[in-house]
Order: sequence, then C-alpha cells, then structure tokens
Amino acid sequence: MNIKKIISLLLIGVMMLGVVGCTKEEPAKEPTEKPGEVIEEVSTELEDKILVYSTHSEDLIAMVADAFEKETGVTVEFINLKGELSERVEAEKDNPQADVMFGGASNLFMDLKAKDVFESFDPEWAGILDPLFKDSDNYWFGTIKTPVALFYNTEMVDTADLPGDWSDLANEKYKGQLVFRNALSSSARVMYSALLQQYERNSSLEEGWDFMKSMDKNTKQYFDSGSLMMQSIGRKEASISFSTLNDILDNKLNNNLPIEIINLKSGYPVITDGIAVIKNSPHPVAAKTFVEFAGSAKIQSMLANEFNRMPTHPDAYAQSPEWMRDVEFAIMDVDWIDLSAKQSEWMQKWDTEIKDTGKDVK
Amino acid sequence: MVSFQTDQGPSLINYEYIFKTQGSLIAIRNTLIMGLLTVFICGFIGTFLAFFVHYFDFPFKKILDRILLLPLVVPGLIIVFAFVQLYGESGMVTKTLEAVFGLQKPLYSLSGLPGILLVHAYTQYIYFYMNVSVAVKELDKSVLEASINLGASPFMIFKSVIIPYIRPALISSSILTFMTSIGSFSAPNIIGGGYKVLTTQILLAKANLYMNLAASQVVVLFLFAMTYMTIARYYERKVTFTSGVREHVIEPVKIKSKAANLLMVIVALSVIIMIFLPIITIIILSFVKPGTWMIDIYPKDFGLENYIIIFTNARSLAPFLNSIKMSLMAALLAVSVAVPAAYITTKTQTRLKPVFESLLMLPFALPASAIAINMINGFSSLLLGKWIMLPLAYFISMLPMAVRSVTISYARLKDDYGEASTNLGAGKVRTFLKIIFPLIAPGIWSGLLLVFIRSLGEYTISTFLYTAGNRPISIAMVNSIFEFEIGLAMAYGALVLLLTFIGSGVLKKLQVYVE
Repeated sequence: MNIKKIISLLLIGVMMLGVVGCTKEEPAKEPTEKPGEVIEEVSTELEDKILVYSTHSEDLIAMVADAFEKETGVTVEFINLKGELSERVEAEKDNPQADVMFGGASNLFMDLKAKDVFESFDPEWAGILDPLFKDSDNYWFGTIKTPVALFYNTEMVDTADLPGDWSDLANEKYKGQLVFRNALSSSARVMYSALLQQYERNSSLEEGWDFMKSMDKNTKQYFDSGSLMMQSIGRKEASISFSTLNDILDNKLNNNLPIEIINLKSGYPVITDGIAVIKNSPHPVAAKTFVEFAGSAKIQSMLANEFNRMPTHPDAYAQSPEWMRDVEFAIMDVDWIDLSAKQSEWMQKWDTEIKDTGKDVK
Repeated sequence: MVSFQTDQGPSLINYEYIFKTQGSLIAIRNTLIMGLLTVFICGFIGTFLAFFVHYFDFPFKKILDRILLLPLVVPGLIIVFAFVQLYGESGMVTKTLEAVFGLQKPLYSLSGLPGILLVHAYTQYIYFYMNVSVAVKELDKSVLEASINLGASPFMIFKSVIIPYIRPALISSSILTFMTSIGSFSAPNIIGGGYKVLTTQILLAKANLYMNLAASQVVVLFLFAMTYMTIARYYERKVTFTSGVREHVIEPVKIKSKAANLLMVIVALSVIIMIFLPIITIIILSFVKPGTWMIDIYPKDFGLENYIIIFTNARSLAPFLNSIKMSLMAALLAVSVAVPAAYITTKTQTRLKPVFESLLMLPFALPASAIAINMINGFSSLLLGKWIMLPLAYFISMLPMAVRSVTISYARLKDDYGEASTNLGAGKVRTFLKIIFPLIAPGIWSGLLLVFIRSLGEYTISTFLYTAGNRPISIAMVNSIFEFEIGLAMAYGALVLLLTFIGSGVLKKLQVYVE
C-alpha cells in the first residue's frame, strides 16, 4: 500500500502549501521589503510608472493616461473596476497595489477616508475648488460633477404631460411609465436618498416614505443593469427614467436614443466624482503628480469637451462646451455628509419594506 | 481559509436578523427551492443529452459534443443579457410570438423563479452532461449485451444496469450544480425581480456596507452547501459500485427503427435549439452596428465595426492571450492536485478523509468574492499584484470541479486491478502510470476541460485580483456592458465562444493522441 502513502504525502504537501499560503501572512518577508519602501518614500524622484484604479470608462482613463505619459514619461497602468472598486481598495489596505483611486462618488471617498486608506495631500489647484467639492482635510478632491437627472423618450410623452417636479411622479397618470435602477446602483441610491432627505428637511421623513411608496406603485420595473434600462426606454417599454447626465448624453449621442432631460423645480442632486492618493502607495511621487495632472484645468476641460463630464475647476468650466455653461436645470440642495450617514439604513428599508417586490420584475 | 471565514466574526445579532426577519426567511426558503429545482432540471437535461450524444449514433456528433460545452464559457452576465434580448419584454422571441399570435401583451414574462431556472438550466446542465458522458463512455458493453441476451426489457436494463453505472456521476454533478446555483447572482439579480435569494441579499447588504450581515449571510449559504454535500456523499458511499473496467467499450448504438429515430431527433433538436439560440444571439448581436440595437427589436444594420475595434486596439487583444494562459495553467494545476486528492477520498480509509473532503469542496461552497478577499489577505505581501495570483485563484476555486470529475472515474475503479498489478511485481509508480492512470483518464480530461472553460469566463474573482498585466477577457466583456457598448461585449463573447470551440477540439484531439 506504499503508493497510497506516497500519494497521501504528496497531497498533504500540496494542500498544506495551499492552506498555509492562504492563511499565513509570511511575516519573514515583510521586514526585508518595508525598509526599501521607506527609502523610496523619502526620495522625491519621479517613479517610472503608476497604477490607477478607476471607475471611469475605458476611453476616458486611456485618454488621461496617454496625456500624462506624454507629459511626464511616467507609464500609467490602469485597472477599470465598477462596483468592486472600494472593496478591493479596502482589501489591499495592508499592502496597497494601486497609487491613485480615480473616480467614484464622494460618499465612497468619505467612507474610505474613515477607513484610513488615503493619503492627505495638497494639489496646486485644490485651493480654487469650492469646499463642496473636496475633503476638508485634503484626503480626496472632486474633479468631476455628475448630475443625476430625469429624462424621457420624446416619442412617447408630450411636453405638456411631463412632470414639473419629483412629487408629480407619485401621480397615477405615470403608472407603468417609470423604470428605475435598483438599490445596487450608486446613482439610484443617491437619488432615492436625496429625495428622502428633501422630505425629511422640508416636511417629514414619514411623508417621504409615502411618496416613495406611491412612486413605487407607478414604477414598472427596477433594473439591475443600466444598459437594459436604457434599452427598455429606447424600445418604448416605458417612457421616463433617471440616470447620470453623462450616461443620458452618451446614449442620446452614441446610441441614438430619442431622449431629453426634464427640468424639475426642486432640481437634481449633483454627485461629486473624486480622486485620491492611496496611503503607502508603491509610487508616491508619481501618484501625487498624477493627481495634480488629472485635476488640472487642462484635463478637466478636456474631459468636459470629450466626455461631457462637468468640471469642478472654475477655469475648466469656462472652457467647457456651451450646453454645460448655461445649464438649465436647478441643482438640488443636498447635505452630503448627512446623506452619507443615512443612506445605508434608508436603502435597506426601501428595498425590504417599501419597494413592491411583486412589481420588481425583469 | 476556514479561519478567515470565522474571523469575520458575525455576532449573533446578525443571525437573529437573518432568521427572524420575514424577508430574509423568504430569501432562505427561495434559495433552497431554487437550488433543488435547478439540480432536477439540469439533471434531466444533462443526462438526456449525455446519452443522446454518446450512446446513440447520428451525424455531426462530435461537433455537437463541443458546442454543448459553450454555455459555460461566457460570464453569467452576458448569458443573462442574451436571454433578455431573446425572451425579455422586447425580446426577439417574445415579439415574434406576439406578432404570430396577434397578441397585445407578451405571452410570458422572463422573471422570477421560472426566469432564473431557465438561465440556470441553460448554464448548469453542463456539469451533468460532462460527468454523465464520462460514465456513459465507460459503460461495459458485455454487461449490456448479457442483460439483453437474458431478456431484460430496456427499462430493466436502464434501471439495474445503467443507473448504477452513472450514479456516481449523477451525485457528483448534483453537488456541483447545487453549489453553483445557490451561489449564482447574475440571474437572480437581473431577471429574478422580486424573487429574493441569499445572494441578492448579500449584494444588498454589501452595497449598504453592512459587512457583518453580509458575512453571516455567506455563512448560512455555506452551511447549505456543506449540508447538501454531506447528504449526497453519505448516499454515494451507501451505493458505491465498482465494475469491471471497459474490456468492451460500448460503441454508439445505431437506432434501427426509423420512427424511434425521428422521435429522438425531434426531442433532442428542441433542447438543442434552446441551447443554441442564446449562443446565436450573442453572435448576431456582435455584428450589430454600434448605436442601433438599443431601439430596434430585430437588428437591421450589420457590420464588422465591433470586431474592427477589438482587432485594431492592442489593449483589447491582450485579454485573449492572458485568459488562455491563465486558464490553461489553472486547469493543469487543478488536475494535478485532483488526481491524488480524489484517490485519497475514494480509495483510502484514512481518518483524515472527511477533513480532506470538506477542504477540497470548500472553495465551491464559498462565494467567489469571499475566495478573492481571502486570497488578498493570505498572499498579501508575497504575491499580491503579481501575475500568478489570478491563475492561482482560479485553481483554488475550480479545484472541486476537477476533484469531482476524477472522483467519478475512481469510484468505479476496482481496487483489484492495482493489487493484481502489484502482486505481479509491478512497481507502485508503474502500477499507477500503466494501470490506474489510463483507467481514470476520461475523468481527468473532463476535469481539465471543465476547469479550463470555467476559468475563461470567470468574472467575480477576476475583478478583485487582476492587474494591468493580466486583464482577463471576462473583465473586458463585462466592462463594455457597463459602458453601454453591448455590441462590443457580444463581439468579445463571440470570440471567446469560438476560442472555446477550437480549444475543446484541440483538447479532444490531444486526448485521443495521448490515449
């Protein structure tokens, strides 16, 4: 039965390797590596590459990365993540892989700042920014404003029948006409929470939930995918929905959807998309140089003109496309810190108690 | 990895929430129903197809065998998209049926449990198909002939000869299917609608940053998976059956009666059409011009734009190479561990056996994201950010599949052969190489293929572990969907399908060559 023994031993060896590998931190390696990193941190020499984690679209990061490479000679590697970005940054906290986190809503940055994964730093342009668009301790900065707007299929609704404000969406005449994203979409989470916050501030939270309940009755479907939601509007399954302004424009211009934005009295919440240097990053000097670069007026206005992303930098704003400068819609007055604190609780409640799961089809 | 699971230390409050809240209880019940129904449906389809393809003789058999593996290779999200384009409210099939029958409303809605089951049946029959195929190929012709000569009815033969042969395959596959289906989230999330299951609850808890709640939900899911496996393994041990080995390999049976032939073909054809449709949809959509398909129900403008984008951009091409290299590596690693591992769990009597067994199946019971995060914690300073990390993670998460495939072959292997060989003076190594290895080869090949195909399409683990140097194809595909470039995503999908088709062909050729 020797063969069995040999095989068992072999297997045990391999399994041990696997298990040990998974569980041990390999402490022996750490001390030898750490000093090297410290020395690097002290030096101010520009490293020859950086790694950027981003939520932005492939084309957008590629354009910024190419421009940065051209100007500084630093190679930019980027990883394009969607919902998993913050989880990955947090998981890598003890041994950061990335240098910069580029993109993601401000509440994400607030949450990650509290978890101590960013490095405070003061870019040249930070002083010009409205305090609304940056962290008070300089841990992160907003470089893009992302409004979340209501839009409609122009072939399905007369302008006279459009809602005048959010509260109109509770009106029965919109029954079956609304399609929205579910509570997993970050823009939808902001939208629903911002509406609840308006009610809480102006009347009562109770009334807010009543409104959400009535709006839910009119909602035909909640989508887990933005693409499928846009498709359902394009194929006239429903007529009204909300999304980020750049997604609306993207689908209007590139996918030829007959859609327009609806102006509402109480306006739209504007999400701030941030950028931050990751703490203990492998290439700290280049990381700061990149943030300095990506937030500059030049790059912000490039993104405004090429990708319809609204800049936070006043100089970039002056060079943005015409439509952006004379924005027609009102901006909702949102208390972002308050929102960030209450959002989770509200969304858990909305998903389990308010949303009619029977109608939550697709 | 076990320790990390408990390290997340869910307190009792979370469990109280899980087991006392109405919505959460429904999700638990739904998860179990979904898992069991998926096993039954997939078991039926997979077993039927395995017999159809390997037991009977008909044209285009080999190509069909390869095409039937394709649904496993595309990430769940893409498959669900293809389904929505076919059977959704404005889907091609839905609208066609509406037009044909002159209906005002869609005939059905692709949602809830039936919708999820449709997608699961579509993607998960493959476990049954592959494992039962191996068993069918090992059926002993002499036993079948003997029973026919003794006057057994076809039903009797099926019940007392064939079933015992394929039983280990059925049990193994049901374990894989159950674990995959209760852990799947693309289908429940996108088309499940109001049908809440544990995975959708986990995603919600994560989005709300209730990480401890999410962790306890993961533990509940994990317990279900382990319980199912324990019961199945207990049953498997009770009915273990070994046979004389393929002295007479079966030859495909030619059906003599024309009517029976026709009936078989019709039944199989309808199943096969259902399996083909989404694949064809992916291929068709990949040729649709960007910017038109969002409005049109039946695509009108076709062009090569999406492919031109992929082939002219170096960044878009690299993922193909990366994925092939990493999947191949994961598959080889998985099989080389699975062969000795399966040996221990089936042929030895060590007291550590149950420990091994659960360790080996553990990765399947854990959600992919948990595996990835544990990998990050575990390899933190050593390998994180290195190229090897991702194939290693594929290997760990796919190992159970390889182990199960090999186990099936071992399970029917009589110990006598090895003993006879040793008694006749052959060395241990020689016995293994000359006697045991050839006999378990079909299991090894199917394990290799399964892991390879699954790794090609893996998405969740990849999002946590990929680096700029090994961006896999699944990431490129799913990101395109997020960026409203569905045509591009489908073009990637179509290329992966082609790749798998060729890849599995090469593997089959290699198998024939080696054997």
